[in-house]
Amino acid sequence: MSRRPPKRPLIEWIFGAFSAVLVVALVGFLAWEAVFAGSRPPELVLELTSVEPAGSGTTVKIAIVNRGDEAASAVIVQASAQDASGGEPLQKQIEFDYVPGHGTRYGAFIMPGKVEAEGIRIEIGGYAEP
Amino acid sequence: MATRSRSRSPATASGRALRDFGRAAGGALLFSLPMLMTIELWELGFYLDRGRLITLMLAALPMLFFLSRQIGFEKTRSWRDDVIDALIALGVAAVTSSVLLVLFGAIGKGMSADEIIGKIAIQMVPGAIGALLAKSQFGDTGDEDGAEREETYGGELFLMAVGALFLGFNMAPTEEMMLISFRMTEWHALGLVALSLALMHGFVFAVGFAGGSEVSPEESMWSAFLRLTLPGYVVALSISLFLLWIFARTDGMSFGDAVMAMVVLGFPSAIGAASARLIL
Repeated sequence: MSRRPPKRPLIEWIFGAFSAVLVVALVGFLAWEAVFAGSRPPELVLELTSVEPAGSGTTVKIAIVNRGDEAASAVIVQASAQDASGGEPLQKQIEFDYVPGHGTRYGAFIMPGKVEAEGIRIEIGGYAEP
Repeated sequence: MATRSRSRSPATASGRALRDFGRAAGGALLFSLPMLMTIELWELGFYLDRGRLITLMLAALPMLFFLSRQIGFEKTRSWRDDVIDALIALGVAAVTSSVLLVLFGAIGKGMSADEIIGKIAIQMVPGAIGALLAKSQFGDTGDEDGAEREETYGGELFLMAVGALFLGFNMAPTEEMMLISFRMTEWHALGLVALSLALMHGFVFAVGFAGGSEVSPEESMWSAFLRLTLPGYVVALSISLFLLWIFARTDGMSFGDAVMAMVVLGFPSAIGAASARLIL
Protein backbone atom coordinates (compact mmCIF):
# COMPACT_ATOMS: atom_id res chain seq x y z
CA MET A 1 0.00 0.00 0.00
CA SER A 2 3.00 2.30 -0.05
CA ARG A 3 2.64 2.98 -3.76
CA ARG A 4 3.40 6.53 -4.72
CA PRO A 5 0.42 8.50 -6.03
CA PRO A 6 0.39 8.48 -9.82
CA LYS A 7 1.87 11.57 -11.39
CA ARG A 8 -0.69 13.84 -12.98
CA PRO A 9 -0.09 15.79 -16.16
CA LEU A 10 0.49 19.50 -15.77
CA ILE A 11 -2.63 20.37 -17.76
CA GLU A 12 -4.83 18.90 -15.02
CA TRP A 13 -3.28 21.20 -12.43
CA ILE A 14 -3.64 24.18 -14.76
CA PHE A 15 -7.32 23.40 -15.23
CA GLY A 16 -7.69 22.90 -11.52
CA ALA A 17 -6.01 26.18 -10.67
CA PHE A 18 -8.03 28.05 -13.28
CA SER A 19 -11.26 26.57 -11.94
CA ALA A 20 -10.24 27.38 -8.38
CA VAL A 21 -9.78 31.02 -9.36
CA LEU A 22 -13.25 31.10 -10.96
CA VAL A 23 -14.97 29.47 -7.99
CA VAL A 24 -13.17 31.77 -5.55
CA ALA A 25 -14.29 34.73 -7.68
CA LEU A 26 -17.88 33.47 -7.58
CA VAL A 27 -17.79 33.01 -3.80
CA GLY A 28 -16.15 36.39 -3.44
CA PHE A 29 -18.81 38.07 -5.55
CA LEU A 30 -21.65 36.44 -3.62
CA ALA A 31 -20.06 37.30 -0.28
CA TRP A 32 -19.50 40.89 -1.38
CA GLU A 33 -23.12 41.17 -2.53
CA ALA A 34 -24.33 39.55 0.69
CA VAL A 35 -22.45 42.02 2.87
CA PHE A 36 -22.57 45.27 0.90
CA ALA A 37 -25.45 45.10 -1.56
CA GLY A 38 -28.73 46.43 -0.32
CA SER A 39 -32.04 44.64 -0.25
CA ARG A 40 -34.30 47.46 -1.24
CA PRO A 41 -37.85 46.40 -2.04
CA PRO A 42 -39.02 46.52 -5.66
CA GLU A 43 -39.19 50.03 -7.09
CA LEU A 44 -41.12 49.79 -10.32
CA VAL A 45 -41.00 52.41 -13.02
CA LEU A 46 -43.12 52.36 -16.16
CA GLU A 47 -42.12 53.70 -19.50
CA LEU A 48 -44.16 54.08 -22.66
CA THR A 49 -41.88 52.89 -25.44
CA SER A 50 -44.07 53.16 -28.52
CA VAL A 51 -47.60 53.66 -29.78
CA GLU A 52 -48.13 52.02 -33.17
CA PRO A 53 -51.20 51.41 -35.26
CA ALA A 54 -51.74 47.67 -35.73
CA GLY A 55 -54.58 46.47 -37.91
CA SER A 56 -57.72 48.28 -36.82
CA GLY A 57 -56.30 49.00 -33.39
CA THR A 58 -53.24 50.42 -31.67
CA THR A 59 -50.41 48.59 -29.96
CA VAL A 60 -49.11 50.41 -26.91
CA LYS A 61 -45.72 49.04 -25.94
CA ILE A 62 -44.37 49.54 -22.47
CA ALA A 63 -41.24 48.71 -20.50
CA ILE A 64 -41.25 48.15 -16.77
CA VAL A 65 -38.00 48.64 -14.90
CA ASN A 66 -37.36 47.45 -11.37
CA ARG A 67 -34.86 49.79 -9.72
CA GLY A 68 -35.04 47.96 -6.41
CA ASP A 69 -32.88 45.01 -5.39
CA GLU A 70 -35.67 42.50 -4.83
CA ALA A 71 -37.82 40.92 -7.49
CA ALA A 72 -41.53 41.63 -7.81
CA SER A 73 -43.95 39.03 -9.05
CA ALA A 74 -47.49 39.19 -10.42
CA VAL A 75 -46.95 42.83 -11.37
CA ILE A 76 -50.19 44.32 -12.68
CA VAL A 77 -50.00 47.22 -15.10
CA GLN A 78 -53.09 49.14 -16.12
CA ALA A 79 -53.62 51.45 -19.02
CA SER A 80 -56.44 53.79 -19.88
CA ALA A 81 -56.74 55.53 -23.19
CA GLN A 82 -59.01 58.18 -24.58
CA ASP A 83 -59.92 57.35 -28.16
CA ALA A 84 -60.83 59.85 -30.86
CA SER A 85 -64.60 59.57 -30.25
CA GLY A 86 -64.21 61.16 -26.81
CA GLY A 87 -66.39 58.57 -25.05
CA GLU A 88 -65.60 56.50 -21.96
CA PRO A 89 -61.84 55.85 -21.63
CA LEU A 90 -60.67 52.34 -22.58
CA GLN A 91 -59.33 50.29 -19.68
CA LYS A 92 -56.76 47.53 -20.20
CA GLN A 93 -54.65 45.45 -17.88
CA ILE A 94 -51.67 43.14 -18.27
CA GLU A 95 -49.75 41.11 -15.74
CA PHE A 96 -46.02 40.37 -15.65
CA ASP A 97 -45.11 37.06 -14.02
CA TYR A 98 -42.12 38.77 -12.43
CA VAL A 99 -39.75 41.66 -12.80
CA PRO A 100 -36.33 40.86 -11.33
CA GLY A 101 -34.36 43.40 -9.28
CA HIS A 102 -32.50 45.82 -11.55
CA GLY A 103 -34.20 44.08 -14.46
CA THR A 104 -36.50 45.14 -17.26
CA ARG A 105 -39.56 43.46 -18.74
CA TYR A 106 -41.52 44.43 -21.82
CA GLY A 107 -45.20 44.17 -22.68
CA ALA A 108 -47.92 45.71 -24.81
CA PHE A 109 -51.55 46.80 -24.56
CA ILE A 110 -53.87 46.32 -27.52
CA MET A 111 -56.32 49.18 -27.87
CA PRO A 112 -59.19 49.10 -30.33
CA GLY A 113 -59.32 52.02 -32.72
CA LYS A 114 -56.88 54.85 -33.06
CA VAL A 115 -55.27 56.12 -29.88
CA GLU A 116 -52.77 58.92 -29.48
CA ALA A 117 -49.82 58.74 -27.10
CA GLU A 118 -51.03 61.86 -25.28
CA GLY A 119 -54.30 60.21 -24.35
CA ILE A 120 -52.72 57.15 -22.70
CA ARG A 121 -52.23 56.79 -18.97
CA ILE A 122 -50.31 53.82 -17.61
CA GLU A 123 -49.90 52.86 -13.97
CA ILE A 124 -48.87 49.98 -11.79
CA GLY A 125 -51.63 48.24 -9.91
CA GLY A 126 -49.39 46.37 -7.50
CA TYR A 127 -47.20 43.35 -7.06
CA ALA A 128 -46.68 40.28 -4.92
CA GLU A 129 -43.46 39.07 -3.33
CA PRO A 130 -42.16 36.03 -5.16
CA MET B 1 -27.91 -11.01 -25.03
CA ALA B 2 -25.12 -9.75 -27.17
CA THR B 3 -23.56 -13.16 -27.68
CA ARG B 4 -26.87 -14.65 -28.57
CA SER B 5 -27.61 -12.00 -31.12
CA ARG B 6 -24.19 -12.44 -32.61
CA SER B 7 -24.69 -16.14 -33.16
CA ARG B 8 -27.77 -15.41 -35.19
CA SER B 9 -27.54 -15.56 -38.93
CA PRO B 10 -27.18 -12.34 -40.94
CA ALA B 11 -30.75 -12.91 -42.08
CA THR B 12 -31.86 -11.36 -38.80
CA ALA B 13 -29.90 -8.18 -39.45
CA SER B 14 -33.07 -6.23 -40.04
CA GLY B 15 -34.48 -7.62 -36.83
CA ARG B 16 -31.39 -6.47 -35.01
CA ALA B 17 -31.66 -3.03 -36.54
CA LEU B 18 -35.25 -2.87 -35.38
CA ARG B 19 -34.20 -3.91 -31.89
CA ASP B 20 -31.50 -1.24 -31.85
CA PHE B 21 -34.02 1.38 -32.90
CA GLY B 22 -36.34 0.17 -30.17
CA ARG B 23 -33.62 0.54 -27.57
CA ALA B 24 -32.69 3.98 -28.83
CA ALA B 25 -36.35 5.02 -28.74
CA GLY B 26 -36.65 3.67 -25.21
CA GLY B 27 -33.59 5.65 -24.15
CA ALA B 28 -34.88 8.77 -25.84
CA LEU B 29 -38.19 8.37 -24.03
CA LEU B 30 -36.58 7.81 -20.65
CA PHE B 31 -34.44 10.90 -20.95
CA SER B 32 -36.91 13.29 -22.52
CA LEU B 33 -40.20 12.30 -20.89
CA PRO B 34 -39.94 14.83 -18.04
CA MET B 35 -39.35 17.52 -20.65
CA LEU B 36 -42.02 16.28 -23.05
CA MET B 37 -44.57 16.75 -20.27
CA THR B 38 -43.43 20.23 -19.22
CA ILE B 39 -45.55 23.07 -20.53
CA GLU B 40 -42.70 25.62 -20.38
CA LEU B 41 -40.86 23.59 -22.99
CA TRP B 42 -43.86 23.54 -25.31
CA GLU B 43 -44.10 27.30 -24.98
CA LEU B 44 -40.41 27.75 -25.56
CA GLY B 45 -40.90 25.80 -28.77
CA PHE B 46 -42.69 28.75 -30.31
CA TYR B 47 -41.41 31.82 -28.56
CA LEU B 48 -37.75 30.94 -28.26
CA ASP B 49 -35.53 33.10 -30.41
CA ARG B 50 -34.63 31.00 -33.47
CA GLY B 51 -31.00 32.06 -33.27
CA ARG B 52 -30.74 30.45 -29.85
CA LEU B 53 -32.55 27.32 -31.00
CA ILE B 54 -30.04 26.96 -33.82
CA THR B 55 -27.18 27.56 -31.37
CA LEU B 56 -28.56 24.73 -29.25
CA MET B 57 -28.77 22.39 -32.21
CA LEU B 58 -25.30 23.34 -33.44
CA ALA B 59 -23.86 22.77 -30.00
CA ALA B 60 -25.68 19.45 -29.73
CA LEU B 61 -24.22 17.95 -32.91
CA PRO B 62 -20.55 17.86 -31.85
CA MET B 63 -21.64 17.00 -28.30
CA LEU B 64 -23.54 13.93 -29.54
CA PHE B 65 -20.66 12.98 -31.77
CA PHE B 66 -18.13 13.08 -28.93
CA LEU B 67 -20.57 11.33 -26.64
CA SER B 68 -20.86 8.55 -29.17
CA ARG B 69 -17.07 8.35 -29.34
CA GLN B 70 -16.76 8.46 -25.59
CA ILE B 71 -19.24 5.71 -24.82
CA GLY B 72 -18.50 3.61 -27.87
CA PHE B 73 -16.38 0.87 -26.37
CA GLU B 74 -14.49 -0.18 -29.46
CA LYS B 75 -11.46 1.94 -30.12
CA THR B 76 -11.53 0.78 -33.69
CA ARG B 77 -14.74 2.59 -34.45
CA SER B 78 -14.40 5.01 -37.30
CA TRP B 79 -15.43 8.66 -37.11
CA ARG B 80 -18.02 7.94 -39.72
CA ASP B 81 -19.76 5.44 -37.44
CA ASP B 82 -19.98 8.02 -34.69
CA VAL B 83 -21.34 10.69 -37.01
CA ILE B 84 -23.98 8.24 -38.23
CA ASP B 85 -24.81 7.17 -34.66
CA ALA B 86 -25.22 10.79 -33.56
CA LEU B 87 -27.52 11.51 -36.51
CA ILE B 88 -29.55 8.35 -35.91
CA ALA B 89 -29.92 9.34 -32.27
CA LEU B 90 -31.25 12.74 -33.32
CA GLY B 91 -33.64 11.10 -35.78
CA VAL B 92 -34.95 8.64 -33.21
CA ALA B 93 -35.41 11.48 -30.73
CA ALA B 94 -37.30 13.50 -33.33
CA VAL B 95 -39.67 10.62 -34.07
CA THR B 96 -40.22 9.78 -30.40
CA SER B 97 -40.92 13.35 -29.36
CA SER B 98 -43.16 14.02 -32.38
CA VAL B 99 -45.33 11.01 -31.58
CA LEU B 100 -45.65 11.92 -27.92
CA LEU B 101 -46.23 15.63 -28.52
CA VAL B 102 -49.06 14.70 -30.88
CA LEU B 103 -50.53 12.32 -28.31
CA PHE B 104 -50.27 14.96 -25.58
CA GLY B 105 -52.07 17.42 -27.82
CA ALA B 106 -49.06 19.74 -27.81
CA ILE B 107 -48.93 19.47 -31.58
CA GLY B 108 -52.14 19.62 -33.50
CA LYS B 109 -54.27 21.34 -36.06
CA GLY B 110 -54.06 25.07 -36.46
CA MET B 111 -50.40 25.31 -35.52
CA SER B 112 -47.81 26.81 -37.80
CA ALA B 113 -44.94 24.69 -39.09
CA ASP B 114 -42.62 27.06 -37.24
CA GLU B 115 -44.29 26.26 -33.93
CA ILE B 116 -44.34 22.50 -34.54
CA ILE B 117 -40.72 22.35 -35.62
CA GLY B 118 -39.68 24.49 -32.67
CA LYS B 119 -41.49 22.24 -30.22
CA ILE B 120 -39.89 19.10 -31.63
CA ALA B 121 -36.42 20.61 -32.06
CA ILE B 122 -36.15 21.63 -28.44
CA GLN B 123 -36.96 18.08 -27.31
CA MET B 124 -34.48 16.45 -29.64
CA VAL B 125 -31.36 17.23 -27.64
CA PRO B 126 -32.20 15.38 -24.40
CA GLY B 127 -33.89 12.64 -26.41
CA ALA B 128 -30.80 12.11 -28.54
CA ILE B 129 -28.58 11.86 -25.45
CA GLY B 130 -30.92 9.17 -24.13
CA ALA B 131 -30.95 7.33 -27.45
CA LEU B 132 -27.14 7.23 -27.56
CA LEU B 133 -26.86 6.08 -23.99
CA ALA B 134 -29.41 3.31 -24.40
CA LYS B 135 -27.39 2.00 -27.27
CA SER B 136 -24.26 1.90 -25.18
CA GLN B 137 -25.94 0.46 -22.10
CA PHE B 138 -27.50 -2.56 -23.73
CA GLY B 139 -25.86 -2.31 -27.09
CA ASP B 140 -23.89 -4.77 -29.09
CA THR B 141 -20.75 -4.46 -27.00
CA GLY B 142 -21.99 -5.97 -23.77
CA ASP B 143 -19.44 -8.78 -23.77
CA GLU B 144 -16.38 -6.59 -23.82
CA ASP B 145 -16.98 -5.16 -20.34
CA GLY B 146 -15.44 -1.86 -21.27
CA ALA B 147 -11.87 -2.95 -20.69
CA GLU B 148 -10.71 -1.21 -23.83
CA ARG B 149 -12.26 2.07 -22.89
CA GLU B 150 -9.64 4.68 -22.40
CA GLU B 151 -10.36 7.29 -19.79
CA THR B 152 -8.76 10.60 -20.39
CA TYR B 153 -8.97 13.77 -18.34
CA GLY B 154 -10.68 15.59 -21.20
CA GLY B 155 -13.10 12.70 -21.62
CA GLU B 156 -13.90 12.83 -17.94
CA LEU B 157 -14.72 16.55 -18.05
CA PHE B 158 -16.73 16.00 -21.22
CA LEU B 159 -18.87 13.32 -19.56
CA MET B 160 -19.40 15.72 -16.66
CA ALA B 161 -20.62 18.33 -19.14
CA VAL B 162 -23.09 15.85 -20.65
CA GLY B 163 -24.31 14.87 -17.19
CA ALA B 164 -24.75 18.52 -16.27
CA LEU B 165 -26.51 19.21 -19.55
CA PHE B 166 -28.90 16.33 -19.02
CA LEU B 167 -30.02 17.26 -15.53
CA GLY B 168 -29.82 20.98 -16.22
CA PHE B 169 -31.96 20.64 -19.32
CA ASN B 170 -34.74 19.20 -17.16
CA MET B 171 -34.91 22.24 -14.96
CA ALA B 172 -33.52 25.25 -16.83
CA PRO B 173 -36.76 26.01 -18.72
CA THR B 174 -38.96 25.97 -15.64
CA GLU B 175 -40.18 29.10 -13.93
CA GLU B 176 -39.00 27.69 -10.61
CA MET B 177 -35.33 28.30 -11.34
CA MET B 178 -36.03 32.02 -11.44
CA LEU B 179 -38.45 32.06 -8.54
CA ILE B 180 -36.09 30.07 -6.31
CA SER B 181 -33.26 32.46 -7.09
CA PHE B 182 -35.50 35.44 -6.27
CA ARG B 183 -36.38 33.95 -2.91
CA MET B 184 -32.78 33.27 -1.99
CA THR B 185 -30.39 35.74 -0.46
CA GLU B 186 -26.69 35.71 -1.33
CA TRP B 187 -26.08 33.82 1.92
CA HIS B 188 -28.36 31.04 0.69
CA ALA B 189 -26.45 31.03 -2.58
CA LEU B 190 -23.13 30.70 -0.76
CA GLY B 191 -24.54 27.73 1.15
CA LEU B 192 -25.73 26.17 -2.11
CA VAL B 193 -22.28 26.61 -3.67
CA ALA B 194 -20.71 24.88 -0.67
CA LEU B 195 -23.26 22.05 -0.78
CA SER B 196 -22.84 21.62 -4.55
CA LEU B 197 -19.07 21.32 -4.15
CA ALA B 198 -19.30 18.95 -1.18
CA LEU B 199 -21.78 16.64 -2.92
CA MET B 200 -19.80 16.72 -6.13
CA HIS B 201 -16.65 15.82 -4.32
CA GLY B 202 -18.43 12.96 -2.58
CA PHE B 203 -19.59 11.62 -5.93
CA VAL B 204 -16.21 12.10 -7.58
CA PHE B 205 -14.54 10.20 -4.78
CA ALA B 206 -17.12 7.44 -4.47
CA VAL B 207 -17.40 6.88 -8.19
CA GLY B 208 -13.70 7.46 -8.77
CA PHE B 209 -12.76 4.71 -6.38
CA ALA B 210 -15.37 2.39 -7.78
CA GLY B 211 -13.53 1.77 -11.00
CA GLY B 212 -12.14 4.86 -12.56
CA SER B 213 -8.52 5.54 -13.20
CA GLU B 214 -8.87 9.23 -12.56
CA VAL B 215 -8.87 9.09 -8.78
CA SER B 216 -6.73 6.62 -6.91
CA PRO B 217 -6.84 5.84 -3.21
CA GLU B 218 -3.23 6.91 -2.77
CA GLU B 219 -4.02 10.44 -3.79
CA SER B 220 -4.75 13.15 -1.29
CA MET B 221 -8.28 14.45 -1.12
CA TRP B 222 -7.14 17.89 -2.20
CA SER B 223 -5.57 16.63 -5.38
CA ALA B 224 -8.86 15.14 -6.59
CA PHE B 225 -10.72 18.21 -5.37
CA LEU B 226 -8.50 20.54 -7.36
CA ARG B 227 -8.19 18.40 -10.48
CA LEU B 228 -11.74 17.07 -10.82
CA THR B 229 -14.27 18.58 -8.43
CA LEU B 230 -13.49 22.25 -9.04
CA PRO B 231 -13.22 21.96 -12.85
CA GLY B 232 -16.35 19.80 -12.77
CA TYR B 233 -18.22 22.49 -10.87
CA VAL B 234 -17.02 25.16 -13.28
CA VAL B 235 -18.21 22.96 -16.16
CA ALA B 236 -21.59 22.53 -14.45
CA LEU B 237 -21.92 26.29 -13.89
CA SER B 238 -20.96 27.05 -17.49
CA ILE B 239 -23.53 24.58 -18.78
CA SER B 240 -26.12 26.15 -16.46
CA LEU B 241 -25.41 29.63 -17.73
CA PHE B 242 -25.52 28.39 -21.32
CA LEU B 243 -28.91 26.73 -20.75
CA LEU B 244 -30.32 29.78 -18.97
CA TRP B 245 -29.26 31.92 -21.90
CA ILE B 246 -30.64 29.43 -24.46
CA PHE B 247 -34.00 29.43 -22.68
CA ALA B 248 -33.98 33.22 -22.42
CA ARG B 249 -34.03 33.11 -18.63
CA THR B 250 -31.27 35.65 -18.21
CA ASP B 251 -32.85 38.26 -20.48
CA GLY B 252 -33.46 41.60 -18.83
CA MET B 253 -31.76 40.43 -15.64
CA SER B 254 -29.05 42.19 -13.72
CA PHE B 255 -25.63 40.55 -13.47
CA GLY B 256 -26.16 39.67 -9.83
CA ASP B 257 -29.51 37.98 -10.47
CA ALA B 258 -28.07 36.02 -13.39
CA VAL B 259 -25.27 34.77 -11.15
CA MET B 260 -27.85 33.72 -8.56
CA ALA B 261 -29.88 31.85 -11.17
CA MET B 262 -26.70 30.20 -12.41
CA VAL B 263 -25.89 28.98 -8.90
CA VAL B 264 -29.43 27.64 -8.47
CA LEU B 265 -29.37 25.70 -11.74
CA GLY B 266 -25.74 24.85 -11.01
CA PHE B 267 -26.88 22.64 -8.15
CA PRO B 268 -28.75 20.02 -10.23
CA SER B 269 -26.16 20.43 -12.97
CA ALA B 270 -23.37 19.70 -10.49
CA ILE B 271 -25.16 16.56 -9.33
CA GLY B 272 -25.65 15.55 -12.96
CA ALA B 273 -21.99 16.21 -13.71
CA ALA B 274 -20.69 14.30 -10.72
CA SER B 275 -22.96 11.32 -11.24
CA ALA B 276 -22.33 11.24 -14.98
CA ARG B 277 -20.08 8.24 -14.51
CA LEU B 278 -22.95 6.34 -12.92
CA ILE B 279 -25.55 7.27 -15.49
CA LEU B 280 -23.47 7.41 -18.65
